Amino acid sequence: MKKLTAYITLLLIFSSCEIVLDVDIPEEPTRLVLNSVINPDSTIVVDLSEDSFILEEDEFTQVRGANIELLENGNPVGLFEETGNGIYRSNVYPTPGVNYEIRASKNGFESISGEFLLPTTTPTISTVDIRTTNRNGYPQLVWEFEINDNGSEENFYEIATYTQIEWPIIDVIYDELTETFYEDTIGIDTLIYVDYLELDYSEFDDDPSSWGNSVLVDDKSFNGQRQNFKVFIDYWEDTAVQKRLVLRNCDETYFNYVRSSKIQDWNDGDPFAQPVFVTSNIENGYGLFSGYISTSIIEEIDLD
Amino acid sequence: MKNLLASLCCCITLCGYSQSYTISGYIQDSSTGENLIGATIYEPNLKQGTTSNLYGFYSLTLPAGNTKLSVSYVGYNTMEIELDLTKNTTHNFKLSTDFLLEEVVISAEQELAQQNQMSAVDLSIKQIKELPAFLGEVDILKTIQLLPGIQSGSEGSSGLYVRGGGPDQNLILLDGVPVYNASHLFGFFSVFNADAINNVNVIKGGFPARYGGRLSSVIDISMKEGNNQEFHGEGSIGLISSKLTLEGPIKSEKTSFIISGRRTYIDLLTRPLIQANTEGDETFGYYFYDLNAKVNHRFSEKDRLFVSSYLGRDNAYARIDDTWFNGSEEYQYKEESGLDWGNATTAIRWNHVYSPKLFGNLTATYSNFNFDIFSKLEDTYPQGDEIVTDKQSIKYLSGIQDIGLKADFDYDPAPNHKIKTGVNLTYHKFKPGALSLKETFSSDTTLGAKATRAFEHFTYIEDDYKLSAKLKVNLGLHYSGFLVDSEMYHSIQPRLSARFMLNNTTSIKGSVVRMTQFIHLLTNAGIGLPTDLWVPTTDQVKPQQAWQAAIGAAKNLSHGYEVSAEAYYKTMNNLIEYREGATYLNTTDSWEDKIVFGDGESYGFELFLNKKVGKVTGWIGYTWSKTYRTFDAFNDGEPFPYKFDRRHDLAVTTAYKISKNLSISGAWVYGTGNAISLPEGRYKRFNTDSFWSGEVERFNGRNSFRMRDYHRLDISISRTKKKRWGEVTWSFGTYNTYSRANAFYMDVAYTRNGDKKFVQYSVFPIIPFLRYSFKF
Repeated sequence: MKKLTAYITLLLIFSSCEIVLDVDIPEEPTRLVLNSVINPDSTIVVDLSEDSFILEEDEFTQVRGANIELLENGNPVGLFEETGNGIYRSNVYPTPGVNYEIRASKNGFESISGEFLLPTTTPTISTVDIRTTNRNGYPQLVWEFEINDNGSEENFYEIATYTQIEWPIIDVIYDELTETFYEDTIGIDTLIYVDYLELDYSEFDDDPSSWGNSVLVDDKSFNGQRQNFKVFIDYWEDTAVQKRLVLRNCDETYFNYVRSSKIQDWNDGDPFAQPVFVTSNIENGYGLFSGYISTSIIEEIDLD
Repeated sequence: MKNLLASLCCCITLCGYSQSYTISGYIQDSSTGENLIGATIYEPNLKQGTTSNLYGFYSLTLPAGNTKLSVSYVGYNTMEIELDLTKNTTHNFKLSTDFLLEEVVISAEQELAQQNQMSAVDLSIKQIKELPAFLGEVDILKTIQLLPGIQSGSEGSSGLYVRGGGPDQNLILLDGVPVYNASHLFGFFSVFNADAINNVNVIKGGFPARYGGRLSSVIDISMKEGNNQEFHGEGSIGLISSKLTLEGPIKSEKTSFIISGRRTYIDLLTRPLIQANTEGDETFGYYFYDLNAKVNHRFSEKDRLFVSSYLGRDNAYARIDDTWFNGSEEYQYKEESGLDWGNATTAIRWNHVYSPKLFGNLTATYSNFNFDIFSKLEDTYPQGDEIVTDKQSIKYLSGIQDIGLKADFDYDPAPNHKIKTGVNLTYHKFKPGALSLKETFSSDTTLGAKATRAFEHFTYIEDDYKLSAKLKVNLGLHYSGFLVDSEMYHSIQPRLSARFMLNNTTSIKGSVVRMTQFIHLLTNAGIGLPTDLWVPTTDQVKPQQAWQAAIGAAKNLSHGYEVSAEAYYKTMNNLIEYREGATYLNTTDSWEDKIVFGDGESYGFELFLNKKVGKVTGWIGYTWSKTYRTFDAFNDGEPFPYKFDRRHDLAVTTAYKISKNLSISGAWVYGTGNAISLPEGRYKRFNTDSFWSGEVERFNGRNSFRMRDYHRLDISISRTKKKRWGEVTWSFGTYNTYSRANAFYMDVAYTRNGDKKFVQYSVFPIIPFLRYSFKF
C-alpha cells in the first residue's frame, strides 16, 4: 500500500505522458551517401549508399553500379572499380598537398561531388612519459606526449592509440585417462585493437570529441608551439604489450564531421539539447570525402 | 542637485503659469496606509492632471484660485475635493474600497487612452490573485505570461519571452533591485510571493529613459509597505506549500513592517514514502522557501526610509547510504548529491521631498544569485587485512552579485512638464562557473574559478511633455557605460514616445527606443534552469543592442472596458548562444570559447481588451508575431525561427464575483506550438570509432517544425466566509481542466510496441488544487 501511495502521488504530481504523433514531413528524393577518408599510406576506398527516412529502421541500402571518378587538382585520374556491395576502389595513392575531388553518379539519383585539400605536413610527436596509474579505483595507462606544431597552417588533429598484444592460442584437451580437462598452448596470436581513451580531465568535459576510440584537438591555442597532452587509456591486460599512438593531421572537414557526429550521438535523447547538424562536404548528397596524413610513436610497456 | 535641476528647468518653469501654486502629497489606501502607485489626480475644468509615482507621491501645479480635484485609482472609490489654492499646499489623499460591489464606472480621463506610456500594463495584486493558480500557488510571472506580446516558454515554465526577446532580456525589479533568477522548482513557480506584493508594472516597449540594462521588458514589482494603521495577517495552506504574512504598525502612522514567508513541503510528504520503498537506503527530495521583509519609517512629511529584503532558496537532494555483507566482510556505499540555488536582495531607500515640485529617492541595493551543484561519494570495502575508503567529491559553483547605488528625482515644474532624472552605479561580480574536485587518487583541482568584476553606470533624463491638449510626448536620453577588464563600453540610448488624442476616449501612440544590455545569459535548456550562467560583456563579447519601434491605438469604452492595439518591430544584435554541443559544466574551456554570436528580429501585432472593475473583470490578449534568429554558426548562417516563435498567442481570462462570498475565475490560453528541430532522414556514418553509433541523423533546418498547438483551461472557485476574527477562503480549482496533453518536448523514439515514431512528451495532465486561506 505504501508503494502504491508513493507511486500515485509521484505520478499525479509529475507524471509524464507520451503521445505518438504523425508528423507531416515533406517527401524528398532519396540521395546518395558517399563516405571516403583517404591517406597517403593506402589506396582509396569509397562506400556508396542511400539515405533513408528517419522512421525507417532497415539497414542502409548499398548502391551498386555507380560511376565514380577521382580528380587531382582538377585533372581526372581514373574511375573507381566496384569490388563489393557498394564498395569502390581506386589504385591511386593520395599525395599530400593535392586537392582531391570525387564525382559519383547513378541512374535515378542526382549526381554528387565533394572535394578537399589533403594536408601537407605532419608534426613531430614524442613520448614524455608513459606509466600505469589507479584512477577512480580503476587501472589506467597515462600517456603523456608532446606535439611540435607546425605554425604555418591551421591544424586539426585526431589522436588514437592501439594495443598490440601477443596472445597465446590455447587448446582445451580432455584427458580420458584422468577424466579431466587441461589447457595446452599451441601457438601465439598477435592481436591489435583500438583503445578507449580520454583526453586530460575529459570526464568533466561534456565535449564528446575528447573521449572514445579517438580524440580531437585543434592547434588554436598552441599554433607553432610545442604542446604537452595527456591521455588516459583503459587496460585490462597483465602482460607486456606494444602501444602505438597515432596522430592524424586531418582536413578540417573531417575534423568537423567527426566532432559534430560524436556530439549528435552524445545528445541523443536529451530533450533540452539543441540539435547538432553533422557537417558534410558532399554536394547534392550526404557523407564525407576527406583525408589525413599521420605519424605515430610506439612504446613497449609491461602492464603486469 | 536641487539647485542644478532648478536651473536646468528654469526656462520650463517660466513657461508655466504666471500665478500658480503646487499641490503635492501622497495618495494612500485609507485602511492600510499603503501608497497607491499610479493613482490619478485630476482637475476637470482645466483638464490638467498627474499620477502618483512609485512611492505614491504626486505633485500638480495649478493656477491660483478655486480648484476642484478628483482623485481616483482602479478598485477604489473616487474622491473629490474643492480647495482655494493660494499657496503651495501639501495634501495627502486616503482612498477607500467601500461599496465596491457596485459596478463602478471610472471616468474616462484616467484611463488607458490618456496614458502617454504605451506597451505597458499595470497589474494590481487583486487582479493577479483572482485568476486560477497552478497548484493553488498564485504566480505573478505566470499571470504576466497571459498578457499580449509576452509568451511563456515550455509548459509550466515561468520564463518570459517578450516581443521575441530571450529570458535574460527582462529587467525584473523587486523594490528596485534586479532579481536574476526569478523561478523556483526548475521554472514552475516564480519567486514572488503574491501576499507580499503591492503592484506590478509591465513595460514591453516605449521604455522611459529611467529604465535600462535589458532589451525586452521591465517588470517593476513593488512590495507592500506594511499596514501602518493596525496589525493584520494572512496566510494559506495548500497541497504543496503554505505561507504566512504578518504586517502592522510599529509606531502608528510612523513606522510599519511586513514579513512574509512561504515553504513547500513536497520533500516532507514524499521522504517517508521513498524510504519505505528503498528499505531506508535512499532518500531524495526537493523544497523551496522564500522570505520577504520590509520596514518603513516616516521621519517627517518630507522624509521616509524603507528597508526591504528578499531571501529565497531552492534545494534538491538525493542520498544513498547502503551497507551490505559478503560473508563476514562489510561493504558500505554512501552518496550524496544535490542542487542548491537562490537569490538574496536588499534595498535601502530614502525618499525626500525637497520641495512640492521636487521629489528625490536615494537607493542602495544588493542582489546576489548563486547556484551550487555537488556530489560526494564514499566507497568503503575490505582489501586484504585493511578497510579501504575511496572518496570523491565534485562541487560546481556559479553566480552573480551586484551592489548598487542610485539617485532618482521627479521634478514637476509645470502641469505640462514632468521631468525625471537620475544616476546609477552598480558593481557586478560574475562567477560564471567553478568546478572543485577532490578525490582519493589525485590532488585537489579547481577549474574555471576566475571571477569577473565590472562596473555599470547610467544617467538619464526624461520629460513627459504635454505639448497641447491632444499631443503629449515623452522625450528621454539614457546614457550607460560598462567597465570590464580595462575595456570601457559606452551607449547612448534615445527614447521617444508620443500620444495624440483623437477625441476624449481615443488616442494613437508611437514610440522608438534603443536599448543596450551589458550582461548575457548562457542557456542551453531554455526553460530557466538554475544552471543557466549570467556572464558579462567582455573585450571579446560585445553588449547586446536593440532598436524597437511601435505604433498603436487605445480607446476607453463604456462600463470600464478599454481596448488597445499595437504593432511593433524589433531588431537585436550581439546575442549569444552556446556553440553546438557545449554545456555549462565544461570548465576546461573558458565560457567565452563556448559561445557564438548572432542577431534577432521580431515583429508582430497585439490586441488587448481589458476590464479592470466591476463584478466581471478580466482580459483578452491576442498576439500575432514572427521571431527569427540569425547565427553564422547555425543553420548555414540562414535565419531560423526562434524556439519560442509563436504565430498566434491568445489568452482569455475572467473573474466573476457571483456574490459577496463566492467568486469564480477562469483562464484559457492558446498558442501555436513551439518551433523544434526534428530529424527528417538518416544515413550511414563514416565511422572510425566503434564507441559511437553507425548512423547520422539529418536535419533540414533549425527549428523548422512545430510542436502541436498549445491550449489549456484553468478554473478556480473561491468561497469566503467572514469570521469574528477575520475571514477564511476555500479555493478549489483545476489546472489544465480538460487535460490537454500539451507538448513539453518531442523526439524520435520507440513506442511501447517497439515502433520507431515521433513521440510527444507531456508533463502536466489535469491537476486539481485545494487551498485554505485566512485573513485577520
